[in-house]
Amino acid sequence: MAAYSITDKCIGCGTCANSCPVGAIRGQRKALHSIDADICVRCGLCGRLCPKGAILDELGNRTTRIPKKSWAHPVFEETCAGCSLCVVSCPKNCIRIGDPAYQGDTHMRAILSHPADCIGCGLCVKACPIDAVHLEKAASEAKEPAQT
Amino acid sequence: MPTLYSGYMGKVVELDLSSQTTRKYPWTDEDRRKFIGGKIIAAKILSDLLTGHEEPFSEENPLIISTGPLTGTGVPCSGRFNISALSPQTGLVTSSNCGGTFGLFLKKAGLDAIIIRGKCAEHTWLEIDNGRFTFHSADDDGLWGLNVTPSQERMAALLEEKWGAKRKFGQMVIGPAGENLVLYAGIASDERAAGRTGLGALMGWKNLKGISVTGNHEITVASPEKNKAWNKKFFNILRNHPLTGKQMPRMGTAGLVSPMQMRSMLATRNFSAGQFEHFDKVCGETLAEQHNIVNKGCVSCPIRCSRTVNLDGKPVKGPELETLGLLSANIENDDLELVLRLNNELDELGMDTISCAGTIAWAMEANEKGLWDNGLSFGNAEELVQTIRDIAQRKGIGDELALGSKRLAERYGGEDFAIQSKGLELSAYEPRRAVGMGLGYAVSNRGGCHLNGGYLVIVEGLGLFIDPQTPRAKADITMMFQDLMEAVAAAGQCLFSTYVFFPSILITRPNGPVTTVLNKALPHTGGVFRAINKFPLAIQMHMPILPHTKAFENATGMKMKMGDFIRCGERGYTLDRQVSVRFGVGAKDDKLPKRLTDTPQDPNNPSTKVPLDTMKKTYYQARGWTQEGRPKVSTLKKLKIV
Repeated sequence: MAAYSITDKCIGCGTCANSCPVGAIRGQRKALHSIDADICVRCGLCGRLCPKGAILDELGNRTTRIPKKSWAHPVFEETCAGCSLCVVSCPKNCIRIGDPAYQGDTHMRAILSHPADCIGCGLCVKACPIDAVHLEKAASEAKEPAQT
Repeated sequence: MPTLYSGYMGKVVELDLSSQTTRKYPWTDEDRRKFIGGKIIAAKILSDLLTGHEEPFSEENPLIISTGPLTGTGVPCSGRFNISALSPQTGLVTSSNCGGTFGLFLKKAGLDAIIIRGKCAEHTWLEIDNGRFTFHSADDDGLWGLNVTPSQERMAALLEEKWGAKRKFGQMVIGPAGENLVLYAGIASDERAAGRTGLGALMGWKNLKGISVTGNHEITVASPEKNKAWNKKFFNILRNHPLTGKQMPRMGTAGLVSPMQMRSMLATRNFSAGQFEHFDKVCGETLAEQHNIVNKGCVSCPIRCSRTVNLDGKPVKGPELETLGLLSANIENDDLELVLRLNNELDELGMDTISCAGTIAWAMEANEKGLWDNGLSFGNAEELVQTIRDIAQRKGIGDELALGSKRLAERYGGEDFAIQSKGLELSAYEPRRAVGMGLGYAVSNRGGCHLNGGYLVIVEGLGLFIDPQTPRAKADITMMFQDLMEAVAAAGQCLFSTYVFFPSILITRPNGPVTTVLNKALPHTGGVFRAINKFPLAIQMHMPILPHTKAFENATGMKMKMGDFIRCGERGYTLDRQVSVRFGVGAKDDKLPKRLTDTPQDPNNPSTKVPLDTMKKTYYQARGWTQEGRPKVSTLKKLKIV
């Protein structure tokens, strides 16, 4: 399986290992870390956090650090059919199908239920069969709402 | 073996529980073309492995879990997977289809199918991680003996602890009913179930409590752009269709109770009548208004037909039509909340709601007729929660009820009103008011199953309204519907996606001129259906009524016009039959209880019974089977089975 990997620029700070949503990264403190290619779901969080740019994506391209406030979040469109492929693909469990608006409402869409947890990986966009979700950077860089 | 086609993971694995070893099962692209996926892959493997001498509870009986090529490709309603084996309940080849996420994760683990042979020495649960198999003790981990939901929760907690992270995974488990070999125990996966034909008992016999599966493989499609463009259309077709866009999301299958009542099709009092006087207390409308909280769906499905209802302040899965009918009208229970409770209890214990309810209805009548003193009676359903628990634990009369109505009728008498075929209890559709459905129940490979039987009720009063009493054309339409549904299921899609087969106008304007003409004409078009069934390959195009074939081509890259699709379905259906023939199945087993074939439902209308023999004869002719019900060698050759 194509997976992310770590080069010898790694200083063993542990940032990636501590935040990997699927626990795919192992390594001793101050030593070279490694990514288990069998577990990595290619969310790219490690690449966006690594202070040394030591992470390569699944195609072997070097990733760069991106500050959290510039991460984009999914926005679901009216066309969403609530098929939940995005829910299943989200590595951070921050998407769910919304509640009915009224008794008997059958048109529920996916919603970003835990925006503070969202890592902007875009796996939901990739999973959507009908392009009903896209990533958008928050218009204001106000503090994100707390986890509900 | 790696594959040229997209959508497949290119790997079928054989796992021997006795020796805890795995090996690759040879599976070529030619096999993929012929046996596309899901239940047809399983039928071919069963045909390779079974000789006709195996017992259901034996190490030689393989439990085959298979996926379709469309699962995980984003094609709508493609979140299904299939489980096949020799059924403990019928003793014949069977398959059971289930929604949820297990199929998707099985493919993410890099597997198209797993063949589980042998038997674990001790109670075990199995972890599959990217094609690696790990065995865990179900006793040490405290799983054995747990109900379905606690089992799944416990399994999830164990995995999270092991992984140190919340990875996504699919899982399937059995409940106490499967552990205790209740012959109609099912297998649960999330909230969904592969309920029918007792596969849970086989898992229990193999000492396998559950399976978890995860992985990070990519599921590729042949033409991503075309696939996405067609998906958008397909999603819209489903959402704009009156059945899949309105009725099913709003009421689920429970919405059928009222139209069935209207057409005297609602099995009542162990199939002795077709109308229930208190139906309004238990119909889909009442369920939607008084109990439903929200509708849910399987992964990738825009229909979302599943109900979540409020029971004692907790959200639980609501009943499907079959369960609703058989636990209310068929046992004369008008307490809908009790139906929800019984349904939840059956789900939690892990058993088939249809067979359990059918067996109980038989037992009530047997008691009434003085054949078996068991304390059960129509209209007295309050005690049934305990009865169901006793069945799962095999205690008292529960130990006997766990055998199903066929075996009990052999023991106590009352075979005429044991409403089963080949040992599998019938669903809630009363076939004397939909005789084509009666034919389907009788000839179906897995026994009294409405879906494997062709689901002709859809044209006999629940969608179209062709004369429900005439045998004309029914055999040919049954064959076509069976083959089509076989292919759709094998591709990995839900059978409800085939509702779009009926153009919207027929459903929205049931009394309109087009519908009226069609209803009148269809019984006289048996020849047309016969010709298509005989020469399906002549249809070398995609048809708007079946968007599935184009989705299949876009996703897999395999040529699949409507004709090829029907032919694949026919191949699968015939193959299942052919393997069952090795176990002695024939025309003598394609039967219904005498109540349905000999006694008119309405004493004043002699046509209200199932003219089974007439239809069966035509059906065998249409299928190219002998009058003994065995596929002819020429048919097997035509289908490239031999």
